[in-house]
Amino acid sequence: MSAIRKRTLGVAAFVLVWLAPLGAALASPPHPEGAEAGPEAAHGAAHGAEHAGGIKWLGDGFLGGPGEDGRTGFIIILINFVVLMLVLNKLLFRSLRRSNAEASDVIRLELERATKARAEAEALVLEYETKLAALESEIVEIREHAKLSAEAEHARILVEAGEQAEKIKLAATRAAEREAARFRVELEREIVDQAMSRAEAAIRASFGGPDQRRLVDAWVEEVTAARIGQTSASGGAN
Amino acid sequence: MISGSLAKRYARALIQLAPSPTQRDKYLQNLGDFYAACKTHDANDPSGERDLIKVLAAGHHTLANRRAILHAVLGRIGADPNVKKFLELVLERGRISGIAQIYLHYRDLVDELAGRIRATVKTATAVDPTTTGRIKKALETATGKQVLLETEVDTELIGGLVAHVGSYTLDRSVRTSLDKLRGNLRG
Repeated sequence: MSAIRKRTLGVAAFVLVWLAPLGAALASPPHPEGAEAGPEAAHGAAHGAEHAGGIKWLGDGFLGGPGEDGRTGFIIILINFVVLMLVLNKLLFRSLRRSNAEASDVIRLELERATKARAEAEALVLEYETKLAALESEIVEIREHAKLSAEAEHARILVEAGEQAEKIKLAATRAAEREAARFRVELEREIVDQAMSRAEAAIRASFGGPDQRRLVDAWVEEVTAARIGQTSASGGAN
Repeated sequence: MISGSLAKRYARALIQLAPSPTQRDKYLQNLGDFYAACKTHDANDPSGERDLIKVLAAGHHTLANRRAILHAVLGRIGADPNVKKFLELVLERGRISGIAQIYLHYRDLVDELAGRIRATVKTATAVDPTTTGRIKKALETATGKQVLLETEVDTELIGGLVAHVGSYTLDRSVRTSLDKLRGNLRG
């Protein structure tokens, strides 16, 4: 419920509670027949005069309540009104005031929050406006920096690729040389083995008694000239 | 198998039991026969568990049984009592598995005391007695000792001969010459 509506309702309730009984009391019509008839009419007139146009503070009934004339004493009305106000205060007005206060707090908080949000939004707008203003120059700067970096990277990659190519070339050359040397050694060994096999076969085929005697003679001559276990061994001693 | 120094100590101990050259030679003969018996291998026993040396060295046979076997073998080869006692001592000390080393050291000691040296000559073909005599004489001249020469045939030598005298090797074989040539060619 909005604050204005609550306030309107409060004013209406005030008018209704305060002015309605007062208006009712003041609007109590006088007895017109008293002025038109005889003694009864005079009595009535006197009685009517007693009532006509004035406030009846106390009623003719029990405890000032409505009597035969149907009018209620103004004091009773006031008392009723006070009691009514107390009851309303107890049942309605307190809760109304409390809800009003709470609503007021909520509204105040909402206002503060909205104010703060607005300030933040304005600051953000200002920041983005500043950034947008600096964006163009930043774009140019980034582009220049990227260009320089790309050129440097390009140069570095070229240098590294050159070095790497040189290393690969060197390694390949060395590997080829090693392989060639290995093959050369293997080939030489194979040639030597085959040559020795053929030489051995030829020697076995041609080696005879005279050759054996010649070797033994040479050995005997050599060993005879040597000194084994005496001073030193020489010649064919291995 | 026992260490060389231990075998040498046993060999020296046996030498001391034989003061004369005749006794030393006899002990050497006994020891050689026993060693030959120990090397004898039964073809029906591929694992060699029943070889004499294995049985004598086996701890799962009682010492009395092993001693009895030893006595029986030594009695069969007619060993001298001192040799019997010596081998019995070796058996009791658990060194019988080193009999080969003991024999070889004893043989070297006896040969040394007798002024002898053993030589082995390998040839590609069998040599005639005349050539053997010339080789022996040449070795005796070179060593200044009596040479006990053994000859072997090894066809791998192709030609020439190889002599082993003590720790010396006198090689004039075609095989060795070819191997040297092969090594030189290979670099």
